[in-house]
Amino acid sequence: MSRVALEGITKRFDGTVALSDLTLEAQDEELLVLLGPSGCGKSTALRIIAGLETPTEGTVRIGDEVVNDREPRDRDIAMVFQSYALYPHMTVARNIEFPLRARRVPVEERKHLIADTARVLGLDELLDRKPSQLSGGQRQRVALARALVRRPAAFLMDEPLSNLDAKLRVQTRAELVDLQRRFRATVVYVTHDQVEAMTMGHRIAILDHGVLQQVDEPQRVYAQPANLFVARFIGNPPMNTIEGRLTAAVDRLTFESAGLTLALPAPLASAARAAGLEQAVIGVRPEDLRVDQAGSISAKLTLVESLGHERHLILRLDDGQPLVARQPAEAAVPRDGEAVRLAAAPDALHLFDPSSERRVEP
Amino acid sequence: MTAGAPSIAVPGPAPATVTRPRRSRPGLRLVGRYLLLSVLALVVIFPIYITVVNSLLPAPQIAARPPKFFPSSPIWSTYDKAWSNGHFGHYLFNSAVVTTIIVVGQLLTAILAGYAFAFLKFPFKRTLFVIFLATLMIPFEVTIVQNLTTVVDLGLYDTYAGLALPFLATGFGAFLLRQAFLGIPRDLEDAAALDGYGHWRFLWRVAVPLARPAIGALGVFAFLTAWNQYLWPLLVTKDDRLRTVQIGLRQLRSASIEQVNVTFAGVVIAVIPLAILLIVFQKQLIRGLTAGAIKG
Amino acid sequence: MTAPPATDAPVAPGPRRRRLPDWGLGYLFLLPALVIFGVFIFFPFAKNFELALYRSPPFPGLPRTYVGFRQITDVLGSGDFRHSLWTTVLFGLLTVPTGIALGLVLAVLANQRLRGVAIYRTIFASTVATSVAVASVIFGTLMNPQVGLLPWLGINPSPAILDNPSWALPAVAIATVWQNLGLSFILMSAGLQAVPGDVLEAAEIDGAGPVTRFWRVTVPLLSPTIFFAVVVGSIFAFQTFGQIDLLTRGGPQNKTNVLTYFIVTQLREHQNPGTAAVLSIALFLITLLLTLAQLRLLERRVHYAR
Repeated sequence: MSRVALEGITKRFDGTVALSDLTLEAQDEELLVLLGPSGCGKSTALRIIAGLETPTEGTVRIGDEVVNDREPRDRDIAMVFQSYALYPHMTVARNIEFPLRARRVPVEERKHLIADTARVLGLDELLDRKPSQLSGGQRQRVALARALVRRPAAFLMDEPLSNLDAKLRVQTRAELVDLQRRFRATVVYVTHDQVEAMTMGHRIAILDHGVLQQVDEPQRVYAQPANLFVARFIGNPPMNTIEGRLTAAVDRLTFESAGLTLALPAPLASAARAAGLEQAVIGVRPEDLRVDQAGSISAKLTLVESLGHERHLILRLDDGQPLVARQPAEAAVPRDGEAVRLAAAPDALHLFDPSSERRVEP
Repeated sequence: MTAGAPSIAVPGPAPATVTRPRRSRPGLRLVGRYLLLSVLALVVIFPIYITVVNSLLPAPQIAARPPKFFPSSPIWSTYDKAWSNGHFGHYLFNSAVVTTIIVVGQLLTAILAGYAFAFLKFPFKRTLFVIFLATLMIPFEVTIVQNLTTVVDLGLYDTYAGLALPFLATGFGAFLLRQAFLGIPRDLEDAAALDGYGHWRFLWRVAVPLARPAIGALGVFAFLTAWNQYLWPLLVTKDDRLRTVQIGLRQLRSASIEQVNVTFAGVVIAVIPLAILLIVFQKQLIRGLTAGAIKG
Repeated sequence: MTAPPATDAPVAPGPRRRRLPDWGLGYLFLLPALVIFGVFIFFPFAKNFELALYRSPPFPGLPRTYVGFRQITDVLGSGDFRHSLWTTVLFGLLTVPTGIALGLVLAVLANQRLRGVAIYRTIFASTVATSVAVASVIFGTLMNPQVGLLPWLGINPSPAILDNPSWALPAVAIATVWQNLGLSFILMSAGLQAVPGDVLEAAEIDGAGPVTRFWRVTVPLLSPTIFFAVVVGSIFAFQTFGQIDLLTRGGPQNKTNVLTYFIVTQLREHQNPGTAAVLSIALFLITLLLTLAQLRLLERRVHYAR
């Protein structure tokens, strides 16, 4: 296994910029997730690593070698496509065998590798079937087997779970993680699903419109989002972001907006002062807002969504800014249209600079 | 999926599956691709190209060795000669008339038949459809013996009618239009019926406009085959006044060698109308040509 | 399978019109086509069987004589027929595989994502505008010993190509293949759309070079189209006429006397409708048998998408 690195990759397509100066590295034996909304460039980045696209600028490294000029088949990588891209006219066994035949692996070794790989992925019974006779989940495993059988330096996966139904997706997710750990494989994994990203990745790289927003371990992406985009993208329901202004009062800094005042904790306040901010955006996750008569946030309740184990309160501030709060099912149900008071723990507050959209580090 | 320790050796030194990486330059590969394509394109277009060139060369230059690949002083009189002395203007007219009759005929019969099979109910419909398909099994060449006699007996030898009549209907056309009409949603039929549309109006006001792609495809296909017909015009016309452009080429061909440039001018005249049509209607052309080949 | 007809339900009040019942209309709509088919396809086809039984006199105007099956056995047993059949088969073997292979190669090459590839595609498809007559005149001139280019290129056998018993048929085949190239290219290109791009990319990543990808992925997935091209191409090969008439007139030494040409010469030059009719029936049967044989033997190897 090797590391995979993109250095300063820019990709332009006829005027649009798909990737902008992307520098990213999947370390040896790491599962790096490329996460982002449709069109953010994550698939393009993956295809550039594979060699299916050439970058306009920048370098691609696999291991320590620059592979820009190498054909995909000489890069020692394997790819699992979203559509699986199985050879429809070949049996499962032949599908798995194909990369080995292409590389002139001797017959005996081929048979051995195919049998082993098939066993690991539970495909023993299916070896003589054609892809059209398989279920979606089975096809996905054949695609995995075909990639696995080669023992490549790195695996590239392009939304491999998107075409599976929800239940199968959860199951396969766990199996993929297991496989990755067992084989100590370097994997670059593209998805738009943040749950996959959070549960599978050693690190997550978030992209928006071709620009890297943040690359970090899942927990840190969640707790310390680098900017408003990441803050709003990660989390379900997403983080609340409230626009307002900062007023200095005595030795404290207060954030004020329609119907709410929040005192900034000291570390955050000094950072804000140092940055000379007057306008700010406060971020607070729905789970960090609780209904509290004594709270300093006043909002109107417009909708209650009951999910069984918890409740989402859809609220609105006086100036129309939306707010979502999560409360456990045991808590008292407020009524629609009611004015509700909420409180937020001071250390659950995030502060963002409205112009740069970056988070202010306390 | 089986749990438990992997029985495959955890990746250590890679087995002999890694190929020696080749250092190839993408720029060179790209040039190679364009080169191959260009060479092949040259080979394919060469006969047409040399025809056009030769049609503009004065007679002595045609037999020049090495051959001239570009006319230094093109003469356009060859076209004039082909057109008037060679009667190609007239042949063009004949081809146009006959082809138009055939195309209109095929479209009409196909539309009517396709509509009948798609929307109307009548006894023996399935049998009749099989009969239509059976016509596809009988190559035209197998019918010429009697058809020639028929045409002569009907007094249609050396007439436009004689040239066009056998081709006014094809099983292929009926099949194509039936498919197209079957694709029209049932709801439209019902809505039209409620609106008081009878079959005739529904056919021309709703069905035909919706089946335009198939009709276009059939039209182009019919034009192509009719324009390029050789055997039948050869058999049923003798009079130069009725000659089509393809048979006209036959005439020119037998002319003397010195007339090669005029012959080639005739070829160009024969090809140009078709070429223009095919360029304008290429989408329909492709649809018409591939209608049978692609599943679904 | 067929859509139910539009209802002839009672309609908003209006002037009473006598409406044809559905089936009357159905027959009416089919009538024009059926008349054409009857007169110009089915009747002539059936008439062949009657004509086959009569021999025509050498002079027109005299009545024909009934000879029964003798004529059929005579014609089909004749060396001329056997030779013509063999020539036709040979011609088919020369043109059909070549045409398909070339169309396929061009289609694959023109399927790449390159800038300006549309120009190449237009050129490769261009011969679809040429007719048999056009191609024959062009190639006939190119091969002409006096003004043709091939002699200049050094290809100057004696006798000249089109008069050369060994070269005449291949020469006509070349003209035919060229003329059909556009159609073959268009057909194969359309078929290529059915080959999923990501499967080819997967093959590339799996280590298959362009040639391997071609043989192991593209061609198998194109097999329905190729099969169609083989069947239809064979049928058309058996109907070859124009090129022979324009280039070699059946010669030299009968070396290009394909079946259809044989039929037409019997009809026109020898005034032998009886013989022509026998040959026509033979042509039909052979074409039919060939198609059935191909369906039987080859379709098994065709991979159809689900």
